Amino acid sequence: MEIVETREQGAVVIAPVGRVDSTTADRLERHLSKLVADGERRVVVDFSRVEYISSAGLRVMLALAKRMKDVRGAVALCAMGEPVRHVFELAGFMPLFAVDGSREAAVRRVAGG
Amino acid sequence: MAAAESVSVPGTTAGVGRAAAAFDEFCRHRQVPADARWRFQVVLDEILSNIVRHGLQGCDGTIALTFAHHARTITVRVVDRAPAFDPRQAPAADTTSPLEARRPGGLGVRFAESLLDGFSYERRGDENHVQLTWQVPESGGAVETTDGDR
Repeated sequence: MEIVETREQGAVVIAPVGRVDSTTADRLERHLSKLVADGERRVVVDFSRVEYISSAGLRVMLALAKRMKDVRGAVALCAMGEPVRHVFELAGFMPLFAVDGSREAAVRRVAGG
Repeated sequence: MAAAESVSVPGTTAGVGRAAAAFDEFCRHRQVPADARWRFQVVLDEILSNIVRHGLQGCDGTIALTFAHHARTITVRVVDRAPAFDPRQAPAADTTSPLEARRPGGLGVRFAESLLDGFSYERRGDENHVQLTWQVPESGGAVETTDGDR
């Protein structure tokens, strides 16, 4: 799994590429934890290039949401394909996150625009 | 046409990755639809990582997998020699608590029962046998044919 990081309108956009599972989730968790520790408070996770996510990846997303809430930051998820959306729904995770169809909408949301 | 492949992987996180890569390869060779591939990969990640974390608990062990594609039925069998553990008996996952109270974990059974058609367990001698099945819908599905970035 590769992690692509970009900046848009004051937000940091993280786009994992490939699968987010028990073999890759630790890497994503370290990346996101460092961002928050470094002071990022507007974070978008773009799932457009994620093949699927397992519960190991969901744990990372849950930890991110909790941390961002603790630091009064904003996080949004976007561009989920059917496999990712299906797993989020089965886990009952959709109500826990702001989820947008497009990356632009998610960036606008966390940027407060 | 029946087609089956077997692979043995070490009971480690790296072994879980090798199993996922082997299943990808099986899907490409046997023209398994992409819809089936991600369903099995999500469930296999749960089953295998649970064996590594809780069953083998750091002990050296091997996990044997058999992948089969017969007509529209795809079957994956997972065999390990950890202490007896029926994954279907794991506590139910919390899927409703608010963010502050939400605890991760326990989703394996929910995923297996929702994403696949069959999820069975048997203890045979000193082995745990888990079998997962899914019937490809009549409408078929896109066939996985390309090598992606894993």
